[in-house]
Formats: sequence, C-alpha cells, structure tokens
Amino acid sequence: MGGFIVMAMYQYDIHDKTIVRQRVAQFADQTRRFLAGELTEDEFRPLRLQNGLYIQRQAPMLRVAIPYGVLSSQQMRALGDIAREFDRGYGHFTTRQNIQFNWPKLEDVPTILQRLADVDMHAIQTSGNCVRNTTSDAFAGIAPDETVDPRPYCELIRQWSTFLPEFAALPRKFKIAVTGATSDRAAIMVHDIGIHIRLNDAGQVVADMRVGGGLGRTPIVSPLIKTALPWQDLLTYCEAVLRVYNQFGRRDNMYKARIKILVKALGAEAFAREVDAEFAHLQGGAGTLTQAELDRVKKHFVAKQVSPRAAVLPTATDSTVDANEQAAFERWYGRNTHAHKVAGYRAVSLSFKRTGTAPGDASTEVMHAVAELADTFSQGDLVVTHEQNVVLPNVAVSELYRLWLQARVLGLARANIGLISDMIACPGGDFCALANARSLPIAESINARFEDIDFQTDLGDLTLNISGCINSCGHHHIGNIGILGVDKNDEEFYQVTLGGRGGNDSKIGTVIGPSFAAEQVPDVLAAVLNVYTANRHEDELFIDVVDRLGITPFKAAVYDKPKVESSVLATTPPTQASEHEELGCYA
Amino acid sequence: MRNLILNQTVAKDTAVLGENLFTLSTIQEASASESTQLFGLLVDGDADVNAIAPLLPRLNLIAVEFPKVVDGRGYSLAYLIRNRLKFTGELRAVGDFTRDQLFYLQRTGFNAMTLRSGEDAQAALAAFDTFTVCYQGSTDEPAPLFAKVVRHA
Repeated sequence: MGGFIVMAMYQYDIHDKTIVRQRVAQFADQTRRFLAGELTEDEFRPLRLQNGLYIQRQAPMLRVAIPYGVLSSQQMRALGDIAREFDRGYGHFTTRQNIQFNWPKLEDVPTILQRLADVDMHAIQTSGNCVRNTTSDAFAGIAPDETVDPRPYCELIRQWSTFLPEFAALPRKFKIAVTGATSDRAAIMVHDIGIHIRLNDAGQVVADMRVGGGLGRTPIVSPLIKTALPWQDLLTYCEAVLRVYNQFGRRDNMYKARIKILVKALGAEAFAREVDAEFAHLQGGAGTLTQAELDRVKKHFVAKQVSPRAAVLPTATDSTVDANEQAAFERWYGRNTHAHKVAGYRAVSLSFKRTGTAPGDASTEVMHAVAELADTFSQGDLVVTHEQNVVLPNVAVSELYRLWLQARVLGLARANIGLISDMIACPGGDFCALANARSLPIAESINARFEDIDFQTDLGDLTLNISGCINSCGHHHIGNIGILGVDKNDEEFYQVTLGGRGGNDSKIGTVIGPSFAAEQVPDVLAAVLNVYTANRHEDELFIDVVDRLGITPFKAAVYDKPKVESSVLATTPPTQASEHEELGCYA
Repeated sequence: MRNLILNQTVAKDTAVLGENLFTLSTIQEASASESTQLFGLLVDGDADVNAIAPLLPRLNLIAVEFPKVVDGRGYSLAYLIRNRLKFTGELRAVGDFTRDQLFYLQRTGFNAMTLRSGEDAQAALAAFDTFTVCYQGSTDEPAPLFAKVVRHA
C-alpha cells in the first residue's frame, strides 16, 4: 500500500568514506609525532582540538559529531561499544547534539576514530576555532509545522564545512543551526549563523539568514541579515559571511572574538553590506548549489516507508493493567510523545533526565538498549536532541504502550519532557577544565527537591538551564529559569536568571540579584515557583507570568526571605582555578 | 636551517629582506628606483589587499606572515590575492605553522611555504597528499566535489 516516505539518515558514499578514513590516518600520524616529541603541545593543541580532543581536568575528552543529531541503531551500538572499551562505560549527550567521552586515553584516540569511521562517524571539527557540527530540529522530517526538511541542507553544509581550508583558524568557534519549521526548536537565534529554510509565496525554497547570535559573556539574539536567500546560494553566502569574519573578527581578546561582537560593532546593516559586497563576487559562481546535488543528497538519506494508520491508543482492556498504570501511561503519552506528519505515528522522547544520573549521560547498556528500542519500534532511527534526550522518530501509535513498558524498565520513561526536571546542564566543574562551578550536583539537588511528578506536571512547561561557567554551554541565558555557576574567591556560587526563552521569541533572561551557595539553590527555586503558582491565571505558563509580572515579585520572594538571605554560605571545597587552555570551546 | 617548499618540491630560498624582499613600509625606496627588476613583498595576514594591488606589476613574490598558527587571516588574504588580484607569481607562507597546515595553505593559493627550522622537508611533502578528495572548492580547485564527479547512492 502507499505511504509516506520519511528520510532517516544520510548514507556515506565512497567519497565520504575516503575523507573520513584519510582523517583517521592524518590524526594517527599527528598523535604519533606528538607522543614522539616531534610536535610541541602548542603545535598539537589546534590539531587535536579540530578533532574534538580536549585535555580536561581528569583525562582527555573526545567529542564525537552527530550531524544534526541523527543516528542509526548501528551507530548507537558502536558508541556504546566505544564507551565500554575505551571509556568508563558511559558517554554524555551534549546540548549541541554531540556525544562526549570523558575518559579516553590519548594513544587510543586514533583507534576510536577508526571505530567511528567504520560506522560513518567522526570527530571532525567538533571543537577548535572552525565551523562546528551543524545542528537542527530534533523533529526534522516529521514535525507537522515543518515546511521544508532542513536535513539535506544541513548535510550540504556539513560537507562544505568539512576541512574548509580558508576557515580552519577563525578568530573563534563558529556554529550553524538550521530549522525548517514554523516553530524554532534549533535555537537558531543564538547561533553564529541561524538559518530558517522555508517556502516563499511562489513555493520555492529560500533561506532567512541570521548572523551574530550567541550566549556566553555577551548574550545576543541574532539579527536577520538576509531574507529569502535562494537555497542555491546557501553555501556561497555562508562563505561570504566567513570571509568577512575571518578578516575582521577580533583576535586580540578571546572574549570579544565571536562573530556576534563584529556584527554588533559594525551594526547589522553595515555588516550585511560587507557580506553582500563579498557575496557579489561569489553569487552564481562555482560554489553555487545545483538541483542535481540537492537531489543526490536527498537520495542518500535512507528512505523509510511509513504507512498511515488509525491512531488507536491502547487502553487498559487487559485486566492486568490497572487504572494507575493506565494513568501513568497516558501522562507519559501526553508529555513524552509528539505529533508526527503521518497519521497513526508519534515521535517519542526517551527521557535522559533521571534522578541520580547526570542530564544526557548514557551507559553502554543504555545505549545498546536504546538501539534495540529503535530497531523494534522506529525502524532503527534515533535523534539526539538539543535538550539532551533521545527521540525515536517514527513509532506507530499502536506500539506505544509496549514501548512505554520497555522504556520504563530502562528508566527512560520519566514523563517529564518540557517540565522542570527536563533540565539542560553542561558537564560543569566535575569534568570541564573551564567551569567555575559544578553543574551536576545542582541538577541533582533540584531533581531531588522537585521529584514529585505530579508537582512538576502541575507547574507545566518550564525550561531550566544550568551552565557551570559563562561559556554558557548549558544555555542558561535562554532558560525560563537559568542558573550560572560563578567563582568567588575560589568558592562556587550560582546566579539565577528569569525570563529567558528559546525558539521564535528568543530572549535573554534577567539576573535576579546576588548569587547563592549551592545548597540554597533548591530553596530559591521553590520561592520562585511559589510566586508563579500563587499568581498564575488558569493555564498560564511560568514564562508568561514572569513576562506579565516582571522579576520584582520573584526577587522579593527570594531575597526578602530571611531563610535564604543570610543562611549558611557554601562550604564546598574551592575548585581549581580554570585553566582556560582550550579557549572556552566546550560543547 | 629553514627549508623552502616551492610547487611541492624542496627549493632554495633566495629572498633576502632588504635586498629583494620588502615590507609595505620599506617598499617605497624599492619602487623609487627606476629598475625594472621585480621584487618580493612581505605582508602580515591582516594586510589590506587594496594596498597590495597597485604594487602588483613590480612583484614576483608575495610572502604572507602567519604570526601564530591559530591566526588564519593569511588564508583569506591568499584567497583574495589569487582570486581578486589575480596574482600569478610566487605566493609564500612564512611564520608559525608546521607541515600539518601545508594542505590548507596550498588549497587557499600558496605555492610556497618556508618551513620552520627542524622540519624535515622531504617528510613534509607527504602533507600535500593528506586528502585525495575535497568537498568544497578553493583557489587550487574552484569546483566543489559535486561539480567534478558523479556521486552515486
């Protein structure tokens, strides 16, 4: 019978495989020369960074690219194997749809890269001052509000940006995000380039280009600098942006080196004129995309047939399923499953936000089990999300109950997607050499304090983002509630922001006041949430109440409370001074 | 001893600063002489390509200094010198880089590189073969991969 074709993942051809294989050989040689003393640490650093390899607090950290978050079950299994053989049996999914291994040995890295290459994966440009892994909407290809599937364009950008010779030593890292949906789930407004692919009135694919967004020390929501760029010009326009940035971006101060600072200094209009002047040389030239190439890339995405079917949700007709079970299932269905373009299907979020486990962490066993779930329920397809969860994109509604039971056994069925405990957190001071403070214990203490799922569900949609330092890998600026680790006289403190949001109305949150000791944080959040529940109108979201009331009542509730105001200060041991040797490249 | 690579072979370096190689600030005296002799220009990676343009008829060499390996302005300058100024003489990279950057240097338009002292020039030549396939165009090959080969699924 007929059906819809959904694209799964891009399949490498001989050229893609050759490039990745040759990279393994190149890096093996570089590592050998470093270990033999032929390359100094200063010489080796930019080389290893462009291969995702950091020297961290505990050990090297290897970041592996998951282009626009898409994985096959086979790749997920390979990641699990790598975690077991070369790490301590787990990996960490990041806010940029990558995975990090925190304990590999430097001399093992070439072998790990070979293992990755065997399943068409790599660590190319996952760090360093170059174009990084392109990210996208986790629901790309299946979201009902999508007008153009962004992934073929992401793949075109991935290929073009791989070993881009002129832009391998930019002033700073460079991140591109792409969405093709009405509702932005890829945080495109806080990326160096944010691309919205859409159809124009004539039905042609065009791109709205935003440049100069970012978080960190100077959070900026990016301005729109080009509207309705024909898709054929996508790469040459990006080339023009990069050429302007490479020449004129600041190199005297790493905190002012991102393109957002250049765009802000010139002003968006003047910057756009510079880019247009450069683009005039490139438009229509050799780098212009062709229909044939777009068609080829689309064809290289494995096509899966999904046949529409009646959307019948299983109910507790079986006497072994009691009413509580049914209610729990329905709550999970409401929170953790998402609309699909094809009738009778849902996308399912497996929640990687579990009490006792760091957000985004996955053991070898869990990675293998998730691969199994993907094979059983979603044709082997997986997507890693910006929120550090894993999505099974194509699950038949009739299979949801069975999936729920299995996911629950694995501890991946907590019905908390979009709720306070579905928080984003960077690895923080436990792992990262840059961090001023730890993020994971904060996440854990919040988890413990607000564990009751009924309470969470009552609070409703709320984003809570935690960063261990101002590099903002946890995107705290755009969390409805943001928590930032800061260092004061070698002690960890936490600054709270309110009112941030991602998506189409991206907005930077406002700092509510002086920072808090770690143990105060759950009380502070409780006070903030009390103001919300006391003031909300029916169905009014947390963020809408913050927008309506401003931060004053929240501030009063937090700082006028004697309990919080002068309670014991942190007695946690001071962290080591940040080395900053990797120039803030985390995530 | 610093080795020079020219057109992917080991070569002898005959450029001497002040004799046949000048900077933008010292080049006036060289230009003032009525000699028809060509000479070399040494610039930093952040040099304005428009400042180089009027000198082109007198230049047989442009050397671009990389102050630090992580400062990639020289790559864009090379691209502009080749693609906008259409300079066809020797374009040489000097400064802070190892053999690991040679592949990118030649792609953006450098046909000469002064190696750091101690770098084995013969071994370094292998760097030009690091990748046999490139996705995107640059100065060495303006056409991207998709325009050059038929790629099958």
